[in-house]
Amino acid sequence: MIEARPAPHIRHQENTRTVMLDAVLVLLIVYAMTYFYHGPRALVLGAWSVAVSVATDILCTLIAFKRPNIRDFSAVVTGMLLPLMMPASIPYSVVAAAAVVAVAVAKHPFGGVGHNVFNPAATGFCFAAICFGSALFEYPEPLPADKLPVFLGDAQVLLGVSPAFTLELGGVPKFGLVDMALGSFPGPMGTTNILVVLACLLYLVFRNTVRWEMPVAFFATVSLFAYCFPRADVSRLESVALELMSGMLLFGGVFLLGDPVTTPKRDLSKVAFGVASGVVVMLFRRFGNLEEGMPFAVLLMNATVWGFDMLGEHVYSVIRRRRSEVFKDQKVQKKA
Amino acid sequence: MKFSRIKKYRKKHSLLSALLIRNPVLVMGLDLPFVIAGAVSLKNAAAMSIQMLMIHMVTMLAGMLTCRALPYWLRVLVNTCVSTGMMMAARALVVPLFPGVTNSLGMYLYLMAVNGMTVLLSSSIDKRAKLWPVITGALGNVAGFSLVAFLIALLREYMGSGTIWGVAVPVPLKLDGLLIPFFGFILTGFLLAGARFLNKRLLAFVMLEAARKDTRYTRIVVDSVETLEHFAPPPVKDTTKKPREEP
Repeated sequence: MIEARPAPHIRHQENTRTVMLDAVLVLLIVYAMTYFYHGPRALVLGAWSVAVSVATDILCTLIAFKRPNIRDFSAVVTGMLLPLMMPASIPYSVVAAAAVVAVAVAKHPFGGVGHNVFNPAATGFCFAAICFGSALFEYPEPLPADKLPVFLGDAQVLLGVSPAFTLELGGVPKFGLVDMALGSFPGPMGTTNILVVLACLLYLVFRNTVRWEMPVAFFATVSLFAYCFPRADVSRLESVALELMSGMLLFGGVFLLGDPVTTPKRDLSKVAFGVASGVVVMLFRRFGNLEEGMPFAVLLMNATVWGFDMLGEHVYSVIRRRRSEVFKDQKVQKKA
Repeated sequence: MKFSRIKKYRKKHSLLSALLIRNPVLVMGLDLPFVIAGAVSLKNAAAMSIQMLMIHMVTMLAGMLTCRALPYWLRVLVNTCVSTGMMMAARALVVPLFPGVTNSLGMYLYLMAVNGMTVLLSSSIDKRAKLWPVITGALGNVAGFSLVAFLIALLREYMGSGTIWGVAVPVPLKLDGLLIPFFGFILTGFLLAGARFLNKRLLAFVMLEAARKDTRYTRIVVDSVETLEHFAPPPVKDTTKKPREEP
Protein backbone atom coordinates (compact mmCIF):
# COMPACT_ATOMS: atom_id res chain seq x y z
CA MET A 1 0.00 0.00 0.00
CA ILE A 2 1.37 3.44 -0.93
CA GLU A 3 1.25 5.99 1.85
CA ALA A 4 1.38 9.68 0.95
CA ARG A 5 3.45 11.81 3.31
CA PRO A 6 4.81 15.35 3.12
CA ALA A 7 8.52 15.97 2.47
CA PRO A 8 11.28 15.40 3.58
CA HIS A 9 11.20 11.79 2.36
CA ILE A 10 14.85 10.97 2.96
CA ARG A 11 15.67 11.25 6.60
CA HIS A 12 19.14 11.18 8.11
CA GLN A 13 19.78 9.27 11.26
CA GLU A 14 20.92 12.48 12.93
CA ASN A 15 18.43 15.21 13.65
CA THR A 16 18.24 18.23 15.91
CA ARG A 17 17.21 16.08 18.82
CA THR A 18 20.10 13.60 18.57
CA VAL A 19 22.64 16.42 18.11
CA MET A 20 21.28 18.25 21.15
CA LEU A 21 21.16 15.04 23.17
CA ASP A 22 24.83 14.47 22.41
CA ALA A 23 25.57 17.97 23.70
CA VAL A 24 23.43 17.38 26.80
CA LEU A 25 25.27 14.15 27.50
CA VAL A 26 28.73 15.69 27.38
CA LEU A 27 27.59 18.72 29.34
CA LEU A 28 26.31 16.42 32.08
CA ILE A 29 29.84 15.06 32.40
CA VAL A 30 31.20 18.60 32.70
CA TYR A 31 28.58 19.28 35.37
CA ALA A 32 29.77 16.20 37.27
CA MET A 33 33.26 17.75 37.38
CA THR A 34 31.89 21.12 38.49
CA TYR A 35 30.07 19.31 41.30
CA PHE A 36 33.39 17.80 42.33
CA TYR A 37 35.12 21.21 42.39
CA HIS A 38 32.36 23.53 43.58
CA GLY A 39 29.72 21.40 45.28
CA PRO A 40 25.94 21.22 44.80
CA ARG A 41 25.58 24.92 43.99
CA ALA A 42 26.96 24.25 40.51
CA LEU A 43 24.21 21.70 39.83
CA VAL A 44 21.48 23.98 41.21
CA LEU A 45 22.74 26.83 39.01
CA GLY A 46 22.55 24.53 36.00
CA ALA A 47 19.04 23.33 36.85
CA TRP A 48 17.85 26.91 37.44
CA SER A 49 19.31 28.10 34.14
CA VAL A 50 17.72 25.20 32.24
CA ALA A 51 14.35 25.87 33.88
CA VAL A 52 14.45 29.59 32.95
CA SER A 53 15.61 28.83 29.39
CA VAL A 54 12.91 26.24 28.80
CA ALA A 55 10.21 28.48 30.32
CA THR A 56 11.31 31.42 28.13
CA ASP A 57 11.45 29.13 25.10
CA ILE A 58 7.88 27.93 25.69
CA LEU A 59 6.65 31.47 26.29
CA CYS A 60 8.29 32.81 23.11
CA THR A 61 6.89 29.91 21.08
CA LEU A 62 3.40 30.55 22.42
CA ILE A 63 3.70 34.27 21.63
CA ALA A 64 4.55 33.32 18.05
CA PHE A 65 1.38 31.15 17.94
CA LYS A 66 3.38 27.96 17.50
CA ARG A 67 3.24 24.71 19.35
CA PRO A 68 6.05 24.45 21.94
CA ASN A 69 8.47 21.62 21.33
CA ILE A 70 10.85 21.10 24.21
CA ARG A 71 11.82 17.69 22.88
CA ASP A 72 14.43 19.24 20.60
CA PHE A 73 16.46 20.08 23.77
CA SER A 74 17.90 23.27 22.25
CA ALA A 75 16.78 25.39 25.18
CA VAL A 76 18.17 22.78 27.56
CA VAL A 77 21.60 22.98 25.91
CA THR A 78 21.56 26.79 26.06
CA GLY A 79 20.52 26.65 29.70
CA MET A 80 23.25 24.15 30.53
CA LEU A 81 25.98 26.09 28.74
CA LEU A 82 25.36 29.45 30.39
CA PRO A 83 26.32 28.73 34.04
CA LEU A 84 29.36 26.76 32.91
CA MET A 85 30.82 29.99 31.52
CA MET A 86 30.25 31.82 34.81
CA PRO A 87 31.80 31.53 38.27
CA ALA A 88 30.20 29.17 40.77
CA SER A 89 29.41 32.12 43.05
CA ILE A 90 27.28 33.93 40.45
CA PRO A 91 23.86 35.09 41.74
CA TYR A 92 20.84 33.21 40.39
CA SER A 93 19.31 36.44 39.06
CA VAL A 94 22.27 36.99 36.72
CA VAL A 95 21.95 33.49 35.31
CA ALA A 96 18.21 34.00 34.82
CA ALA A 97 18.71 37.33 33.02
CA ALA A 98 21.35 35.79 30.75
CA ALA A 99 19.10 32.81 29.97
CA VAL A 100 16.15 35.07 29.12
CA VAL A 101 18.29 37.20 26.81
CA ALA A 102 19.83 34.11 25.20
CA VAL A 103 16.47 32.61 24.28
CA ALA A 104 14.27 35.68 23.83
CA VAL A 105 16.79 37.93 22.05
CA ALA A 106 19.27 35.67 20.27
CA LYS A 107 17.09 32.71 19.34
CA HIS A 108 13.41 33.39 18.78
CA PRO A 109 13.44 36.76 16.96
CA PHE A 110 15.50 35.07 14.23
CA GLY A 111 13.07 32.19 13.78
CA GLY A 112 13.87 29.74 16.56
CA VAL A 113 15.83 26.50 16.43
CA GLY A 114 18.12 26.23 13.44
CA HIS A 115 17.67 29.82 12.31
CA ASN A 116 19.51 31.84 14.93
CA VAL A 117 22.36 33.93 13.52
CA PHE A 118 24.16 34.37 16.83
CA ASN A 119 24.99 31.70 19.36
CA PRO A 120 22.37 32.10 22.14
CA ALA A 121 24.68 31.08 24.98
CA ALA A 122 27.40 33.49 23.82
CA THR A 123 24.83 36.29 23.54
CA GLY A 124 23.52 35.60 27.04
CA PHE A 125 27.05 35.61 28.44
CA CYS A 126 27.97 38.86 26.68
CA PHE A 127 24.83 40.53 28.01
CA ALA A 128 25.69 39.39 31.52
CA ALA A 129 29.30 40.53 31.07
CA ILE A 130 28.14 44.02 30.07
CA CYS A 131 25.54 44.29 32.85
CA PHE A 132 27.21 42.44 35.73
CA GLY A 133 30.90 42.54 34.87
CA SER A 134 32.10 42.64 38.46
CA ALA A 135 30.12 39.58 39.55
CA LEU A 136 30.98 37.64 36.42
CA PHE A 137 34.74 37.79 36.74
CA GLU A 138 35.14 37.00 40.45
CA TYR A 139 36.05 33.36 40.61
CA PRO A 140 35.93 31.27 43.78
CA GLU A 141 38.79 28.89 44.54
CA PRO A 142 38.01 25.30 43.53
CA LEU A 143 37.91 22.55 46.14
CA PRO A 144 37.40 24.88 49.13
CA ALA A 145 37.42 23.49 52.65
CA ASP A 146 33.72 24.31 52.91
CA LYS A 147 31.76 23.76 49.70
CA LEU A 148 29.80 26.74 48.41
CA PRO A 149 26.33 26.88 49.98
CA VAL A 150 23.41 26.63 47.56
CA PHE A 151 22.17 30.03 48.67
CA LEU A 152 25.13 32.30 49.33
CA GLY A 153 23.42 34.97 51.44
CA ASP A 154 26.10 36.54 53.62
CA ALA A 155 28.47 33.61 53.27
CA GLN A 156 32.07 34.52 52.59
CA VAL A 157 33.61 33.09 49.43
CA LEU A 158 37.35 32.67 48.95
CA LEU A 159 38.15 34.27 45.60
CA GLY A 160 41.18 33.60 43.43
CA VAL A 161 42.87 35.14 40.44
CA SER A 162 42.26 33.32 37.18
CA PRO A 163 45.15 32.57 34.79
CA ALA A 164 43.33 34.49 32.06
CA PHE A 165 43.41 37.65 34.19
CA THR A 166 47.09 37.16 35.01
CA LEU A 167 47.88 36.74 31.31
CA GLU A 168 45.81 39.83 30.54
CA LEU A 169 48.09 41.81 32.85
CA GLY A 170 51.18 40.30 31.24
CA GLY A 171 52.04 38.11 34.25
CA VAL A 172 52.75 34.41 34.54
CA PRO A 173 50.02 32.27 36.19
CA LYS A 174 51.18 30.58 39.37
CA PHE A 175 49.49 27.28 38.56
CA GLY A 176 51.36 24.29 37.16
CA LEU A 177 50.33 22.89 33.80
CA VAL A 178 49.17 19.62 35.40
CA ASP A 179 46.93 21.51 37.83
CA MET A 180 45.54 23.48 34.93
CA ALA A 181 44.92 20.37 32.87
CA LEU A 182 43.03 18.86 35.80
CA GLY A 183 41.03 22.05 36.30
CA SER A 184 42.21 22.90 39.78
CA PHE A 185 42.38 26.66 39.35
CA PRO A 186 39.93 29.58 39.65
CA GLY A 187 37.89 30.36 36.56
CA PRO A 188 34.48 29.91 34.97
CA MET A 189 33.22 26.73 36.58
CA GLY A 190 32.82 24.58 33.48
CA THR A 191 35.70 25.81 31.41
CA THR A 192 38.52 24.91 33.75
CA ASN A 193 38.09 21.16 33.29
CA ILE A 194 40.49 20.99 30.38
CA LEU A 195 40.83 17.22 30.06
CA VAL A 196 37.09 16.68 30.36
CA VAL A 197 36.37 19.30 27.70
CA LEU A 198 38.93 17.67 25.40
CA ALA A 199 37.26 14.31 25.96
CA CYS A 200 33.92 15.93 25.13
CA LEU A 201 35.40 17.29 21.90
CA LEU A 202 36.63 13.83 20.93
CA TYR A 203 33.22 12.32 21.65
CA LEU A 204 31.40 15.00 19.64
CA VAL A 205 33.81 14.61 16.71
CA PHE A 206 33.43 10.82 16.69
CA ARG A 207 29.66 11.21 16.85
CA ASN A 208 29.92 13.65 13.92
CA THR A 209 28.03 16.26 15.94
CA VAL A 210 31.02 18.59 15.52
CA ARG A 211 33.08 18.40 12.33
CA TRP A 212 36.81 18.04 13.03
CA GLU A 213 37.90 20.67 10.48
CA MET A 214 36.85 23.72 12.44
CA PRO A 215 38.21 22.89 15.94
CA VAL A 216 41.49 21.73 14.41
CA ALA A 217 41.86 24.91 12.33
CA PHE A 218 40.83 27.07 15.30
CA PHE A 219 43.17 25.51 17.86
CA ALA A 220 46.04 25.38 15.36
CA THR A 221 45.66 29.09 14.61
CA VAL A 222 45.43 29.98 18.30
CA SER A 223 48.52 27.86 19.04
CA LEU A 224 50.47 29.45 16.19
CA PHE A 225 49.48 32.92 17.35
CA ALA A 226 50.45 32.14 20.95
CA TYR A 227 53.74 30.63 19.76
CA CYS A 228 54.63 33.67 17.66
CA PHE A 229 53.39 36.35 20.07
CA PRO A 230 53.60 35.15 23.71
CA ARG A 231 51.86 37.43 26.18
CA ALA A 232 53.79 36.31 29.25
CA ASP A 233 57.49 36.00 29.93
CA VAL A 234 57.61 32.23 29.40
CA SER A 235 58.89 29.88 26.72
CA ARG A 236 56.92 29.77 23.48
CA LEU A 237 55.57 26.26 24.09
CA GLU A 238 54.50 27.21 27.59
CA SER A 239 52.78 30.24 26.13
CA VAL A 240 50.81 27.97 23.81
CA ALA A 241 49.78 25.72 26.70
CA LEU A 242 48.79 28.66 28.90
CA GLU A 243 46.73 30.30 26.17
CA LEU A 244 44.90 27.08 25.38
CA MET A 245 44.14 26.23 29.00
CA SER A 246 43.29 29.64 30.38
CA GLY A 247 39.89 31.26 30.21
CA MET A 248 37.16 29.73 28.11
CA LEU A 249 39.12 29.30 24.91
CA LEU A 250 38.93 25.52 24.85
CA PHE A 251 35.34 25.41 26.07
CA GLY A 252 34.30 28.07 23.56
CA GLY A 253 36.11 26.32 20.75
CA VAL A 254 34.18 23.13 21.44
CA PHE A 255 30.73 24.30 22.49
CA LEU A 256 30.30 27.84 21.12
CA LEU A 257 32.15 27.67 17.83
CA GLY A 258 31.09 24.05 17.34
CA ASP A 259 27.41 24.99 17.22
CA PRO A 260 26.28 23.60 13.84
CA VAL A 261 23.65 26.33 13.36
CA THR A 262 26.00 29.30 13.60
CA THR A 263 28.90 27.88 11.59
CA PRO A 264 29.48 27.54 7.84
CA LYS A 265 28.19 24.47 6.06
CA ARG A 266 31.04 23.46 3.75
CA ASP A 267 34.25 21.83 4.99
CA LEU A 268 36.48 24.38 3.30
CA SER A 269 34.43 27.23 4.77
CA LYS A 270 34.71 25.61 8.18
CA VAL A 271 38.50 25.60 7.94
CA ALA A 272 38.59 29.26 6.86
CA PHE A 273 36.09 30.12 9.61
CA GLY A 274 38.21 28.30 12.22
CA VAL A 275 41.35 30.15 11.16
CA ALA A 276 39.61 33.54 11.15
CA SER A 277 38.00 32.82 14.53
CA GLY A 278 41.36 31.91 16.00
CA VAL A 279 42.89 35.18 14.84
CA VAL A 280 39.94 37.24 16.10
CA VAL A 281 39.92 35.49 19.48
CA MET A 282 43.62 36.08 19.96
CA LEU A 283 43.27 39.73 18.93
CA PHE A 284 40.47 40.12 21.48
CA ARG A 285 42.70 38.54 24.11
CA ARG A 286 45.66 40.70 23.23
CA PHE A 287 43.96 44.06 22.80
CA GLY A 288 40.59 43.63 24.55
CA ASN A 289 39.74 45.01 27.97
CA LEU A 290 37.90 41.96 29.26
CA GLU A 291 39.75 38.84 30.34
CA GLU A 292 37.18 36.69 28.53
CA GLY A 293 36.98 37.90 24.94
CA MET A 294 36.00 34.51 23.54
CA PRO A 295 32.18 34.93 23.54
CA PHE A 296 32.47 38.42 22.02
CA ALA A 297 34.74 37.06 19.30
CA VAL A 298 32.26 34.23 18.69
CA LEU A 299 29.42 36.72 18.21
CA LEU A 300 31.55 38.78 15.84
CA MET A 301 32.42 35.70 13.81
CA ASN A 302 28.79 34.50 13.80
CA ALA A 303 27.92 37.65 11.90
CA THR A 304 30.37 36.71 9.14
CA VAL A 305 29.24 33.12 8.57
CA TRP A 306 27.31 34.03 5.41
CA GLY A 307 30.54 35.38 3.90
CA PHE A 308 32.39 32.14 4.57
CA ASP A 309 29.46 30.17 3.14
CA MET A 310 29.53 32.27 -0.03
CA LEU A 311 33.29 31.88 -0.29
CA GLY A 312 33.01 28.11 0.09
CA GLU A 313 30.26 27.87 -2.52
CA HIS A 314 32.28 30.00 -4.94
CA VAL A 315 35.40 27.87 -4.53
CA TYR A 316 33.45 24.63 -4.96
CA SER A 317 31.65 25.97 -8.04
CA VAL A 318 35.01 26.89 -9.61
CA ILE A 319 36.34 23.41 -8.84
CA ARG A 320 33.22 21.79 -10.33
CA ARG A 321 33.45 23.92 -13.46
CA ARG A 322 37.11 23.05 -14.01
CA ARG A 323 36.44 19.37 -13.43
CA SER A 324 33.65 19.39 -15.98
CA GLU A 325 35.91 21.19 -18.48
CA VAL A 326 38.66 18.60 -17.95
CA PHE A 327 36.10 15.81 -18.35
CA LYS A 328 34.86 17.33 -21.60
CA ASP A 329 38.42 17.68 -22.91
CA GLN A 330 39.09 14.03 -22.11
CA LYS A 331 35.96 13.01 -23.99
CA VAL A 332 36.96 15.06 -27.01
CA GLN A 333 40.45 13.56 -26.96
CA LYS A 334 39.02 10.04 -26.75
CA LYS A 335 36.74 10.72 -29.71
CA ALA A 336 39.65 12.14 -31.68
CA MET B 1 -13.82 44.98 -3.81
CA LYS B 2 -14.94 47.87 -1.67
CA PHE B 3 -12.53 49.16 0.88
CA SER B 4 -14.72 52.12 1.77
CA ARG B 5 -15.25 50.91 5.31
CA ILE B 6 -11.55 50.53 5.92
CA LYS B 7 -10.85 53.93 4.42
CA LYS B 8 -13.55 55.41 6.66
CA TYR B 9 -12.05 53.67 9.67
CA ARG B 10 -8.58 54.92 8.82
CA LYS B 11 -9.81 58.46 8.31
CA LYS B 12 -11.50 58.40 11.67
CA HIS B 13 -8.40 57.05 13.36
CA SER B 14 -5.68 59.09 11.69
CA LEU B 15 -3.78 59.48 14.95
CA LEU B 16 -3.91 55.75 15.59
CA SER B 17 -2.70 55.25 12.06
CA ALA B 18 0.31 57.54 12.66
CA LEU B 19 1.06 55.79 15.93
CA LEU B 20 0.79 52.23 14.65
CA ILE B 21 0.06 51.63 10.98
CA ARG B 22 2.35 54.31 9.59
CA ASN B 23 4.62 55.00 12.53
CA PRO B 24 7.65 56.85 11.10
CA VAL B 25 10.12 55.07 13.36
CA LEU B 26 8.72 51.56 13.46
CA VAL B 27 7.27 51.19 9.98
CA MET B 28 9.36 53.60 7.92
CA GLY B 29 12.61 53.25 9.87
CA LEU B 30 13.15 57.01 10.08
CA ASP B 31 14.96 58.66 12.99
CA LEU B 32 16.15 55.35 14.38
CA PRO B 33 19.51 56.73 15.66
CA PHE B 34 17.76 59.16 17.99
CA VAL B 35 15.61 56.45 19.47
CA ILE B 36 18.42 53.92 19.74
CA ALA B 37 21.20 56.11 21.07
CA GLY B 38 19.30 59.02 22.58
CA ALA B 39 16.28 57.47 24.28
CA VAL B 40 18.01 56.28 27.45
CA SER B 41 15.99 58.40 29.87
CA LEU B 42 12.55 59.99 29.94
CA LYS B 43 14.07 63.47 30.10
CA ASN B 44 16.01 62.77 26.92
CA ALA B 45 12.84 61.51 25.26
CA ALA B 46 10.92 64.62 26.32
CA ALA B 47 13.68 66.92 25.07
CA MET B 48 13.85 65.10 21.74
CA SER B 49 10.06 65.17 21.38
CA ILE B 50 9.84 68.92 21.99
CA GLN B 51 12.69 69.54 19.60
CA MET B 52 11.14 67.26 17.00
CA LEU B 53 7.76 68.97 17.35
CA MET B 54 9.23 72.39 16.67
CA ILE B 55 11.57 71.33 13.88
CA HIS B 56 9.17 69.02 12.09
CA MET B 57 6.07 71.23 12.18
CA VAL B 58 7.80 74.37 10.93
CA THR B 59 9.85 72.55 8.31
CA MET B 60 6.77 70.76 6.97
CA LEU B 61 5.01 74.10 6.60
CA ALA B 62 8.07 75.53 4.89
CA GLY B 63 8.18 72.44 2.68
CA MET B 64 4.59 73.07 1.69
CA LEU B 65 5.49 76.56 0.56
CA THR B 66 8.71 75.62 -1.22
CA CYS B 67 7.22 72.63 -3.06
CA ARG B 68 5.23 74.98 -5.29
CA ALA B 69 8.01 77.45 -6.01
CA LEU B 70 11.34 75.62 -6.00
CA PRO B 71 12.86 72.62 -7.78
CA TYR B 72 13.54 69.49 -5.73
CA TRP B 73 17.29 70.01 -5.21
CA LEU B 74 16.82 73.56 -3.97
CA ARG B 75 13.81 72.54 -1.89
CA VAL B 76 15.95 70.09 0.09
CA LEU B 77 18.54 72.77 0.80
CA VAL B 78 16.00 75.37 1.88
CA ASN B 79 14.12 72.90 4.08
CA THR B 80 17.36 71.82 5.73
CA CYS B 81 18.24 75.44 6.43
CA VAL B 82 14.82 75.97 7.98
CA SER B 83 15.13 72.85 10.12
CA THR B 84 18.62 73.92 11.27
CA GLY B 85 17.28 77.30 12.29
CA MET B 86 14.45 75.64 14.17
CA MET B 87 16.93 73.31 15.84
CA MET B 88 18.80 76.32 17.22
CA ALA B 89 15.56 77.83 18.51
CA ALA B 90 14.42 74.51 19.99
CA ARG B 91 17.80 74.01 21.65
CA ALA B 92 17.48 77.39 23.32
CA LEU B 93 14.15 76.25 24.75
CA VAL B 94 15.06 72.68 25.66
CA VAL B 95 18.41 73.21 27.38
CA PRO B 96 17.03 75.43 30.21
CA LEU B 97 14.12 72.99 30.64
CA PHE B 98 16.34 69.91 30.90
CA PRO B 99 19.82 71.11 31.99
CA GLY B 100 21.57 67.74 31.71
CA VAL B 101 20.32 67.00 28.25
CA THR B 102 23.32 68.53 26.44
CA ASN B 103 25.64 66.00 28.05
CA SER B 104 23.39 62.98 27.74
CA LEU B 105 22.21 63.57 24.17
CA GLY B 106 25.46 65.03 22.92
CA MET B 107 25.63 65.41 19.16
CA TYR B 108 22.17 63.91 18.69
CA LEU B 109 20.77 67.21 19.96
CA TYR B 110 22.28 68.94 16.93
CA LEU B 111 21.80 66.10 14.46
CA MET B 112 18.07 66.62 14.83
CA ALA B 113 18.47 69.45 12.30
CA VAL B 114 18.93 66.84 9.57
CA ASN B 115 16.73 64.08 10.92
CA GLY B 116 15.51 61.72 8.22
CA MET B 117 11.82 62.12 8.92
CA THR B 118 11.81 65.91 8.48
CA VAL B 119 14.18 66.04 5.52
CA LEU B 120 12.45 63.24 3.63
CA LEU B 121 8.84 64.15 4.29
CA SER B 122 9.22 67.92 3.90
CA SER B 123 10.91 67.46 0.52
CA SER B 124 8.33 65.05 -0.81
CA ILE B 125 5.17 67.07 -0.17
CA ASP B 126 2.85 67.02 -3.13
CA LYS B 127 2.09 70.32 -4.88
CA ARG B 128 -1.65 69.72 -4.48
CA ALA B 129 -1.37 69.05 -0.74
CA LYS B 130 -3.70 71.03 1.50
CA LEU B 131 -2.70 72.75 4.70
CA TRP B 132 -4.79 70.81 7.23
CA PRO B 133 -3.75 67.30 6.20
CA VAL B 134 -0.09 68.37 6.19
CA ILE B 135 -0.42 69.74 9.73
CA THR B 136 -2.27 66.69 11.06
CA GLY B 137 0.16 64.38 9.30
CA ALA B 138 3.14 66.20 10.81
CA LEU B 139 1.54 66.09 14.26
CA GLY B 140 0.90 62.38 13.83
CA ASN B 141 4.52 61.78 12.82
CA VAL B 142 5.81 63.63 15.87
CA ALA B 143 3.34 61.71 18.07
CA GLY B 144 4.55 58.41 16.58
CA PHE B 145 8.18 59.33 17.16
CA SER B 146 7.46 60.49 20.71
CA LEU B 147 5.52 57.34 21.54
CA VAL B 148 8.40 55.09 20.51
CA ALA B 149 11.00 57.31 22.19
CA PHE B 150 9.06 57.44 25.46
CA LEU B 151 8.32 53.72 25.55
CA ILE B 152 11.93 52.75 24.94
CA ALA B 153 13.25 55.45 27.28
CA LEU B 154 10.92 54.34 30.07
CA LEU B 155 12.07 50.74 29.88
CA ARG B 156 15.73 51.61 29.55
CA GLU B 157 15.72 54.17 32.34
CA TYR B 158 13.82 51.91 34.74
CA MET B 159 15.73 48.72 34.04
CA GLY B 160 19.10 50.26 33.18
CA SER B 161 19.46 53.14 35.61
CA GLY B 162 16.88 52.23 38.27
CA THR B 163 15.20 55.65 37.99
CA ILE B 164 12.06 57.14 36.46
CA TRP B 165 12.35 60.80 35.40
CA GLY B 166 15.54 60.97 37.44
CA VAL B 167 13.91 59.71 40.65
CA ALA B 168 15.36 56.51 42.09
CA VAL B 169 12.87 53.65 42.24
CA PRO B 170 13.31 50.09 43.47
CA VAL B 171 14.17 47.77 40.61
CA PRO B 172 14.46 43.98 40.95
CA LEU B 173 17.53 43.66 38.72
CA LYS B 174 19.52 46.57 37.34
CA LEU B 175 20.65 45.84 33.77
CA ASP B 176 23.26 48.41 32.71
CA GLY B 177 23.49 46.74 29.32
CA LEU B 178 20.12 48.14 28.29
CA LEU B 179 21.69 51.60 28.02
CA ILE B 180 24.04 50.64 25.20
CA PRO B 181 22.83 51.28 21.64
CA PHE B 182 22.82 47.56 20.79
CA PHE B 183 19.93 46.96 23.14
CA GLY B 184 18.24 50.06 21.78
CA PHE B 185 18.17 48.21 18.47
CA ILE B 186 16.84 45.07 20.12
CA LEU B 187 14.09 46.94 21.98
CA THR B 188 13.09 48.80 18.83
CA GLY B 189 12.91 45.47 17.05
CA PHE B 190 10.60 44.06 19.72
CA LEU B 191 8.45 47.18 19.54
CA LEU B 192 8.29 46.84 15.76
CA ALA B 193 7.18 43.23 16.11
CA GLY B 194 4.51 44.33 18.57
CA ALA B 195 3.31 47.08 16.22
CA ARG B 196 3.12 44.63 13.30
CA PHE B 197 1.14 42.21 15.43
CA LEU B 198 -1.29 44.96 16.48
CA ASN B 199 -1.61 46.14 12.88
CA LYS B 200 -2.53 42.66 11.72
CA ARG B 201 -5.09 42.23 14.47
CA LEU B 202 -6.55 45.67 13.81
CA LEU B 203 -6.88 44.98 10.12
CA ALA B 204 -8.41 41.58 10.80
CA PHE B 205 -10.92 43.21 13.12
CA VAL B 206 -11.84 45.82 10.53
CA MET B 207 -12.24 43.24 7.81
CA LEU B 208 -14.35 41.06 10.07
CA GLU B 209 -16.62 43.97 10.86
CA ALA B 210 -16.90 44.78 7.16
CA ALA B 211 -17.73 41.17 6.38
CA ARG B 212 -20.36 41.00 9.11
CA LYS B 213 -22.13 44.16 8.03
CA ASP B 214 -22.04 43.41 4.36
CA THR B 215 -23.67 40.10 3.55
CA ARG B 216 -21.77 39.83 0.29
CA TYR B 217 -18.55 39.23 2.18
CA THR B 218 -19.82 36.87 4.87
CA ARG B 219 -17.97 33.99 3.32
CA ILE B 220 -14.61 35.64 3.89
CA VAL B 221 -12.89 34.02 6.80
CA VAL B 222 -10.91 36.74 8.53
CA ASP B 223 -8.86 34.56 10.75
CA SER B 224 -5.30 35.40 9.89
CA VAL B 225 -5.33 38.45 7.70
CA GLU B 226 -1.94 39.47 6.44
CA THR B 227 -2.48 42.10 3.80
CA LEU B 228 -5.33 43.74 2.00
CA GLU B 229 -4.21 42.00 -1.19
CA HIS B 230 -5.24 38.79 0.50
CA PHE B 231 -8.84 39.76 -0.20
CA ALA B 232 -8.35 41.23 -3.61
CA PRO B 233 -10.40 39.53 -6.35
CA PRO B 234 -8.47 37.18 -8.63
CA PRO B 235 -7.23 38.82 -11.84
CA VAL B 236 -9.61 38.43 -14.76
CA LYS B 237 -8.17 36.26 -17.48
CA ASP B 238 -7.75 37.87 -20.84
CA THR B 239 -9.84 35.61 -23.07
CA THR B 240 -9.60 37.65 -26.23
CA LYS B 241 -7.49 36.01 -28.85
CA LYS B 242 -4.47 37.94 -29.91
CA PRO B 243 -3.60 38.01 -33.58
CA ARG B 244 -0.64 35.87 -34.47
CA GLU B 245 2.51 37.71 -35.16
CA GLU B 246 3.86 37.00 -38.55
CA PRO B 247 7.42 35.76 -38.68
